[in-house]
Amino acid sequence: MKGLKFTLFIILLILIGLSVTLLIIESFTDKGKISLNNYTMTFSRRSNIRSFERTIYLAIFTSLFAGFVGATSAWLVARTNLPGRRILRTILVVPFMVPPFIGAMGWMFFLGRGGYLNKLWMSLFGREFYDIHTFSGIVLVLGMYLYPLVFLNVASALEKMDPSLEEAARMCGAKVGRIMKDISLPLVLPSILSGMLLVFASAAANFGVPAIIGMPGRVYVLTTKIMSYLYGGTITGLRRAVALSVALIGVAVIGLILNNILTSKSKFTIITGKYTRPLLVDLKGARWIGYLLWAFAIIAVFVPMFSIFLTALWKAWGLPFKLSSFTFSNFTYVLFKYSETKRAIANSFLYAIIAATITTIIGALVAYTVKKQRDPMTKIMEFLSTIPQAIPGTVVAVAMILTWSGKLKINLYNTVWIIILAYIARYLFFSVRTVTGGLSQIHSSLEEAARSSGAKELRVARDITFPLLWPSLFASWVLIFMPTLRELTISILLYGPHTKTIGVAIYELQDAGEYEAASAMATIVLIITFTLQVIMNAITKRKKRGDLA
Amino acid sequence: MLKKGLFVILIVLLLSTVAFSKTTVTLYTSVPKLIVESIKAEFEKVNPDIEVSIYRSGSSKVVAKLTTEITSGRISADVLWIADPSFFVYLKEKGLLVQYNSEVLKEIPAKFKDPDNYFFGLRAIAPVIAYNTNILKAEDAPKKWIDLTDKKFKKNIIMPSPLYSGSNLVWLYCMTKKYGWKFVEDLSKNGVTVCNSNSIAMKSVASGSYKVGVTLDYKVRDAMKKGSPVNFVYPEDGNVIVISPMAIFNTSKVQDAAKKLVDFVASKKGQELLVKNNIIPVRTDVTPPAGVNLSKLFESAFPIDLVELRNKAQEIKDKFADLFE
Repeated sequence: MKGLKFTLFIILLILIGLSVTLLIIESFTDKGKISLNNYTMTFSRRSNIRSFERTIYLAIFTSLFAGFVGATSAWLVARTNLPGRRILRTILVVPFMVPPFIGAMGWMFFLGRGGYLNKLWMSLFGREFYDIHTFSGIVLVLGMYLYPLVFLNVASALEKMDPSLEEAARMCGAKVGRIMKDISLPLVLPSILSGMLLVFASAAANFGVPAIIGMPGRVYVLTTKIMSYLYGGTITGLRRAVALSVALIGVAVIGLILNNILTSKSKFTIITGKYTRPLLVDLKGARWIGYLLWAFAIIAVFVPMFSIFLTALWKAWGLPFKLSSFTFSNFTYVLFKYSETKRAIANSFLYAIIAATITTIIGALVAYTVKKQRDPMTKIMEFLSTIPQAIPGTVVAVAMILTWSGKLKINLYNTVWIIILAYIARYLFFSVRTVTGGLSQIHSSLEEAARSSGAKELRVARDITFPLLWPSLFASWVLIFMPTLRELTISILLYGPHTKTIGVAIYELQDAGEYEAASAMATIVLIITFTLQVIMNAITKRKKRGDLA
Repeated sequence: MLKKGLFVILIVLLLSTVAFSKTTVTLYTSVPKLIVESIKAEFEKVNPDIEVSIYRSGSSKVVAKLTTEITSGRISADVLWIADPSFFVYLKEKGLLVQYNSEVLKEIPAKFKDPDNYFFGLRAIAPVIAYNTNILKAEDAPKKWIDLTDKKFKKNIIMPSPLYSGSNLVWLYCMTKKYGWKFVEDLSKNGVTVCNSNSIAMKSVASGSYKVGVTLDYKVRDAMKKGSPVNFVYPEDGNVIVISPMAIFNTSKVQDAAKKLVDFVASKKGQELLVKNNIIPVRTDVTPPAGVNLSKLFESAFPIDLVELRNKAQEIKDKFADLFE
């Protein structure tokens, strides 16, 4: 046990502690001495200051947009007699499953230069409908993919709310509107804010959307600026990328710290775990709001996917809209003919399986050790495992480059291992969190029973804990497998000549203007994602039923 | 018995892999994939014992990769062939290149080569003004570089970013020498879109997304041959001719094979392959692509001081980023 704990401690220290520390030290060093030169050199350039400010504005506006859409739609779905609200609840969560960069591509095909709607508008009215390659375009697209963070938070709070509070208000003669304003809203406000702060951090950390939507319009934020510097290929560029990375951690951390303060301060005792049937508001004359929400959901979900499918079937982007302009050959091209995409698909599956397996094993062991023993060492372990949550993928990649390209006499640059290490560091907290949740559901009496019957620690773990923990280990594996399979942010900075991933392949194809092939790849990714999601849902459902029986 | 048989098979297998194992030369390049693949195929036909492994990306990305590899002390590339000549000056100064001369290289005019024989310009590429012929008539298209700042083309021009494209860095260096930074500011004000590569710029003009683009001459010739509605001009206010060099790293363990690859590209056959892909050759005994008047082209070309370019590269990139990002 002691050996295990020590090994895990070292692994976490090297994997996470070391690279983050190196990154920060590096940012404050110049020619071997402590200095602020990197920062002054970086922030004396206008474009860098601009990208920093833009990142903050982007985070603020996206969280406002996502907060408004998420909270309103959650209320409409959970607390009104909106027609078809159950179906709507499912549809509204779909954007959460779509990788934002793929969604961004869809929106670009629809509202970009020469996009479907813009083209139509141009032929009708002689001007474009909207140029998505702007700051507002990034906010809209990003908000469209991040609002489920607020939606899910608020919807579950609204559904679990203690109805007696609202009933008490009604007894006192308050009207529905007043009840909502004075009782329900204050009760769910913490959930709204907490969701918005998560959106804030995610928006600041996002790479795919600002890259695909922003860069063609010359709108740069920190993540894209960091990439631009790393690709620029100079030593100066690398030092600036490091300084910007630390600045980016700063922005992301603000959101998460505020969120932690909020969730620890506000007491959720009002919201009980009981399943209740809260008061439903009759929309009556305001039914149009419901239709508006339907319209939004359909647009948010179907427009980008439709654009991607359509583009994937196009012989060449820009051909006239005729049956003869369509073909399935883009799919056969990326799946069987083009060696680069074929290889990327194989790579991504391999990396995702390796990363999910290793991460789940380490994460489970960390969760187990932290739970079994409370001492300073495990406390540090717990802390280390939560750090990557606050660190954007772009920064994880920069830290990995600094740490593993020869500085410590180990050179993993250009190999698959630097990518895998980054994936593990990035997603470890998923696994720790999931398994900790699973562990807390196993009552200690079960293990004690085994122990009092004379079983050794290892036997208890094998025969009692592990079988009971199996569902959360599986959940953790899938939770890591899915995002790593289509990962873009980290791999775009770390891939080498032979380690291209699906995300990078799609990104580069669209970047090179090969929209049809990029869309065909994206379609395949979407199909894989949805299939896995359905399988996963079926399995967890069966698990639950099995538990009850 | 069975064991013995297996053992023999194993030995035979081992021997055969030794006997047939090929030397692998790793080439880092910014030459478009299809072109470099065709060179690889022809080269491997002549040298069946050598396999060329290719890493292809934009010049800057290749430089970024190499910079990291150089600092980490493990260079995976044997041969380099990109569009940014200033990086070769840097590599030469760092003492990372092999000094090489051969019969074939002697046939290349001296003006394309490093005087000390550390790198060899084996491909001439020229940034030009391309335009979509469906949207613009020849007389309405820009004739000079300075025309790109004309309000007529506002928000309708696309060009590669010098942060990614080596040839565009050289182009920008020439432009700022002739017109100063005012020209670049005016480009920014005119809403010029920047993209990551000359191929994208070409594609965007061909598809009509943009009326005008700055891209490489051979890409336009290629697109025209394939029937795209595009044409181009070598601007009247001066040609930018970028000599894209090739060099061998002295860290390479397969220098003999690497030299063979360089010789092949410099040979008549290699240069003819380039011409097939509409690229201007550097050999005088190879006929350039149809319609190219070599002497006239080089006459009006900007003089390029590689050392100065190398010293100014960072400043150019920084200033450009401030104006465009």
